[in-house]
Amino acid sequence: MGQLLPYWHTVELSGGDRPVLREGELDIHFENNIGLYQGKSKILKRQNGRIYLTSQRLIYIDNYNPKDYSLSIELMDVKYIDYTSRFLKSSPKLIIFFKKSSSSIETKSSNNNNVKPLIHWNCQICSSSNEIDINFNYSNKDNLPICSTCGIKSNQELIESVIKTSISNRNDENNKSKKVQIECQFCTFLNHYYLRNCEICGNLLPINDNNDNKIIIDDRISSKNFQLELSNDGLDDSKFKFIKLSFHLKGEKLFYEKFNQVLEKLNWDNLINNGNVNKNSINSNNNLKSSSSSPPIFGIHSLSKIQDDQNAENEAIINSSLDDFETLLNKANEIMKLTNSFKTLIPDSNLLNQVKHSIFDDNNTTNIQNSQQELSRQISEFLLDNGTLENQGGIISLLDLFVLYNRSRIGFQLISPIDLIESCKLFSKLNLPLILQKIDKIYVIIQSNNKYSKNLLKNLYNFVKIYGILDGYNFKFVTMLQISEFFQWSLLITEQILKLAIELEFLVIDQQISGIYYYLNEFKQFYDDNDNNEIELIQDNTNNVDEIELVKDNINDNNDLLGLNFPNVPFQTPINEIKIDDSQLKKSKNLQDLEGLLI
Amino acid sequence: MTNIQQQFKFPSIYNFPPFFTRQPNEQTWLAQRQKWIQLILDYSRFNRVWILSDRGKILSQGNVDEDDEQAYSKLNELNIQSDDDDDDDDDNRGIFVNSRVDRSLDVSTINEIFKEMSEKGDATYVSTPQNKKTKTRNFNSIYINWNRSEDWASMLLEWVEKTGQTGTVLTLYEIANGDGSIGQEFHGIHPKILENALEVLVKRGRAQVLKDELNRVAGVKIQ
Repeated sequence: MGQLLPYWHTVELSGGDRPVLREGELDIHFENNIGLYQGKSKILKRQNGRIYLTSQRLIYIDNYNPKDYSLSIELMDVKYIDYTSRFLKSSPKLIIFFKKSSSSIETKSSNNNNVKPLIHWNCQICSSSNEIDINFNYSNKDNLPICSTCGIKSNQELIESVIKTSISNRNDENNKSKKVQIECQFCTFLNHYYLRNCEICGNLLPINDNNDNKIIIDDRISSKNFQLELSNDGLDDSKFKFIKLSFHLKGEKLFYEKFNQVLEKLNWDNLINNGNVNKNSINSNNNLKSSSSSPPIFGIHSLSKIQDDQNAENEAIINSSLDDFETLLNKANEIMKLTNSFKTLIPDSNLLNQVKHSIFDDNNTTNIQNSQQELSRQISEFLLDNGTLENQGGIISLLDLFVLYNRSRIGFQLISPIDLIESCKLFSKLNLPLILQKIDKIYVIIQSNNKYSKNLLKNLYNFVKIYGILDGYNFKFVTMLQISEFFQWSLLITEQILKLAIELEFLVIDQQISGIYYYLNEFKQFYDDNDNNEIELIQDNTNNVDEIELVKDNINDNNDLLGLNFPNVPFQTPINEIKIDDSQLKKSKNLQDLEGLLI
Repeated sequence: MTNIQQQFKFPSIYNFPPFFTRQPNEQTWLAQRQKWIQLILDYSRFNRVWILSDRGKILSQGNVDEDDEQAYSKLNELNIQSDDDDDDDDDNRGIFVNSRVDRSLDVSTINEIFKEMSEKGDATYVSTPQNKKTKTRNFNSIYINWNRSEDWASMLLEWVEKTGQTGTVLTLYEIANGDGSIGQEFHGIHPKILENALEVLVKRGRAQVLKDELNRVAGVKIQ
């Protein structure tokens, strides 16, 4: 175990094992196969992951155990980055140096203990203000402080009262300062004093002691969670705090460039946020002016001179701004010409619309595999986080997904069907909770932890068994619509599942003009007049389809199996009872078609 | 014929609606076919049905005491009749219609079942003589072998040996409708089915068939 740098933070993950971005935070770059180093030593168990570069953070997501091993650092903490190329067996590395902010905090906090704060006391003789250490020992009468102005010793009571009140005041102040809220510079929202980003607009808040201290607190908490294991403790040797990203494959150069861009932008933004940019420029102008201005002249002449100067200045401003405006117009025309010339080259003008920045812009970097893995995660995120898959009964056909997903991208960055299917094939490889399965002729995506979709046929079988409508001879049947409604499957999928069920001899059909009714397969059972055969039949089929796990108990006790209550349907009418309830008749038109059955 | 269905106890699968729809799955269809064949055989044995058409019409039943020619002419007659009342013969479609569950089996499906029966030896197609005048439709009718020809043959042999008629010439009428065969299962057997049974014996070398000038079987000598 090595010493842990205070810069590590935990990461919130989405359903697709991607980081949850903050408000206003943007994805900028992404690279796979990254190992982490702290100082010179490897961080164990953090050697195979993905790095997301966002506008605010650098996020590491572990490939094996994304939930527990993922880390992030704030770009705000980064001072600068460096880059070492590949050397013999060592991979190219990106070195990230940190600002000393939190180390200075450490020293600050230690200073708080060492340097004794001073308090003021007023001399009773000359009433001038003097300073004294707060921990001053006032019990020693010989050592009482002397007024720096009049040189007369103070008395013991005065010092004692001053020190006591100041101590109590300080405590009050501490309590007060903790409750101080931080105003956002952009939207003026008063944020909690521990926050570093505005709750409303997501902009950075000015750093104060409280939210800076929070880093330390936070990291003390998180360091317990992290438990980084270093291969050896290389941290103490280095003067500067730094971590390294090791690029096991490639992509380091581009990442370096992007990172630098982001850092520059961040620094620039910081300057603007602090108001330094404009302030400086104005100051410099003023300085110039004051330096260039001639020695002061007095009288009417000076007044007119000032007026002239002002006019000249105004003129200059207006002229220059008009010039700027003109050049801007010219530039705009040039740009329009340029875009028009491109239009002839590119037949599909939609391509020009692809402005929105995303990971997939970087065709030059992303090897296809990476982008597919990423797409795969995005898809699972899309399906799981919004409850899209849940609404579809835990199963969605690839066709529907293609439409839904592309529609949600609002015309930007549409994915191709090939990309879709290739990335869906990666679900199991990436340990995502989705299954791509082929049912009969269509591909579907199944949520692996959904209670219905996991054992499709088993559930279908039980559904018919329990909720099927009883005909006059104690046979139960269902219609496609019933199944679709109950499981919330789309009709397309229901049809395919039913086909599969027929294919595997689970169900048989009764084809009438009024429609197709699905019955459980009774042929085998009647053939041998043996109930056990039915079960064997189903168990035989498990060789074909994995999801069928019918245990004998389940058949006998199937009401508990689904754990469902279906209020309107009477359960298991006795065999000799041919009468059918009115409620049941109302429930399904199909029964009315079979009214002739009721003797 | 009307009270036949009341006497015969249909199996429970007969009330299973999908029983009357040809199942798309081959395995299920195989099971379904076997059940149908079993049902037809049981039903025919119970009611001593000799010929069944694919419309479910029983063309020959019970003790057949006509000779061949009569049987054939009756068959044609029936065919013509069924031509006429083709539309409203739902009630007459007998076994293939279950009015209680309002289901009936397709003619094409029935023919598939017949084909299977004939391949397995459970039935033989009736080769209907073409009647030019009436332009008889070539119905698919089958002789139902609720006993196989081999079984009939051994029954005959046993009876002949038991009654000491070995070596004597017997007419088909004598075998099927004679007083001597009363009480035997083959009493009243359809002549065509009897012929098939005798053919088995001829092949085994246990019988000699005597034919008349019209090349019809007139008598048989069982040894």
